[in-house]
Amino acid sequence: MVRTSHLIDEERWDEWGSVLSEGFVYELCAYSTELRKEMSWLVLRGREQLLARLAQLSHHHRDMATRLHLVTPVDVTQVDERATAVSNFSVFRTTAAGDTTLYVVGRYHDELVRAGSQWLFGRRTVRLHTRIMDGAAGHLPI
Amino acid sequence: MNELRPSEGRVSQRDRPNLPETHYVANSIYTDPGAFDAEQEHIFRRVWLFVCHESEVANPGDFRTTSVAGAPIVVCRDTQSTVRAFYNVCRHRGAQVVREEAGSAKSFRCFYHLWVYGLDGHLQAYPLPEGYKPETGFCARDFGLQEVRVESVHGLVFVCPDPQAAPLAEYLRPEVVDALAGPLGSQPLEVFHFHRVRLKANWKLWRDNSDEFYHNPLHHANRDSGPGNVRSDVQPRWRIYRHGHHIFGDPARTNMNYQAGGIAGLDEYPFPTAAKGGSMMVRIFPDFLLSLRSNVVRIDRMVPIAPGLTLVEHRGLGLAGDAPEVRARRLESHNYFWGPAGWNLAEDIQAVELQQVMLESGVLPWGLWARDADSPGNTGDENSRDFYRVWTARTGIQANDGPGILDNGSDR
Repeated sequence: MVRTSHLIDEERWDEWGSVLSEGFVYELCAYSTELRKEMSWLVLRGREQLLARLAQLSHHHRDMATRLHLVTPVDVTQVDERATAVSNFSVFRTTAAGDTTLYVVGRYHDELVRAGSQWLFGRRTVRLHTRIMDGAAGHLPI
Repeated sequence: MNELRPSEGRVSQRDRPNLPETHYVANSIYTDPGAFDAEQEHIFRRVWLFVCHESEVANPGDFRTTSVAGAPIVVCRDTQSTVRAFYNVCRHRGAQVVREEAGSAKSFRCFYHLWVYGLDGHLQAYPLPEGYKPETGFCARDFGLQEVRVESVHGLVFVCPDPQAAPLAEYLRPEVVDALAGPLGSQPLEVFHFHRVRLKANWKLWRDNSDEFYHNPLHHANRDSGPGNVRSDVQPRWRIYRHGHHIFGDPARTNMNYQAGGIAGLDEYPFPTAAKGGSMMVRIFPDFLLSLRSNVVRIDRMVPIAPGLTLVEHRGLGLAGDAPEVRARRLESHNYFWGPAGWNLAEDIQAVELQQVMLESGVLPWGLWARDADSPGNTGDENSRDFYRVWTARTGIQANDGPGILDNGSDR
């Protein structure tokens, strides 16, 4: 989980893709206290769709800051060839000038599947606690 | 791209532009605390301001808190199902009465000294009442929550802090009310998305960004709004109405080419009276920004905090009772463009925040609104010129002079 966060921080998308199952689902969601509803902010179905989106990043005006994930120890539950993992995270954003701010905090709910000798991510649900967003880092996966 | 002609050194960036006065603004209007105060006093405390959609207070007892011109407001639906609004301040000692963002209640109880107000704002109960002697003139009915004017049109709830202001329908003008009727008023809607951005920029820059389409094919390259993706046979212009309200497009006409944008199908299940690929923008002065893209509606409102800081509220709307597959498509469409992880929103935020940094440096006293109304690709500035005309009339500050412009070293 920590290694995955490093891959995301360093934007090593191909390496990240290598630990995702073909049917990997990435969802960014939050609960709105204003609407009293669950909200889905982004759903990407399939590893290829995720990687295709990340490949588009260079065509867009993207946030120039770097990001750093801090991930807590993971609560893992394994049942046979599947596992779920829950961890808290915070993401810090550092501008080129070196100014660091806390960007978002939340919790990962990961589902993993065994593929031979390797565990792959089958699904990542990013549940954000932060809902007032600072700046424009929205293009990058959390 | 056209070649630039040399200026022969005659015009510096600090010179007043040699243009009609309507075609440029002083950039100090985005940074000056005096201008900010004037806006709060003469605009945000004087006009009707969108605060929420009726579906956010759908049932009797439902409430929603917000703020208007720095004042805390609670909007609720009373027992008679009437939408009401009050200043969210206890009449006793000034504590915040309703502390949640939203909820449902039979009454509002201040957590400090437990004064209780009905959904109609009346003071219903207060502990140890014998401490208030009638001979002092104390009367409970004098101390209800202060009501704020509230009216709705096609589900959009507006409040107005000014008791002397004209009614909402008069302020909006019939053309705006009529334009909203089809997409927003013909079927019940609901808000499915809400988030806020702490925008480190003046609120007008966000409005400017939403109003000018010049940046769309340039800044947002390779998207549906990019060059060649807007149908060339559809060239609507902004329609400009009194009080600074503007409308662009007609949702019933297909004017966006999702196929060319590589996102075919994202426009399925269009809104009532809208066509696939149809769009409409509605701007209600000063801060209401509605965008309809075929199957989804986005509404922005702004809470100005300081000259360089704005809380922007983003809402996404669909039809109440959408089938799951329909809602999923609306959500996909909304999130693709406008969600917190969407392509367009993040790019606009970056541009506007960097603008603010540059404008605060004071090196560029003037900004341009000089594009002709008939500019290709709907990139004219006539709507922004009208916005600043109304802004000038309201604030009493000439937008093209601006506060403090002489102090910036202009050699006009």
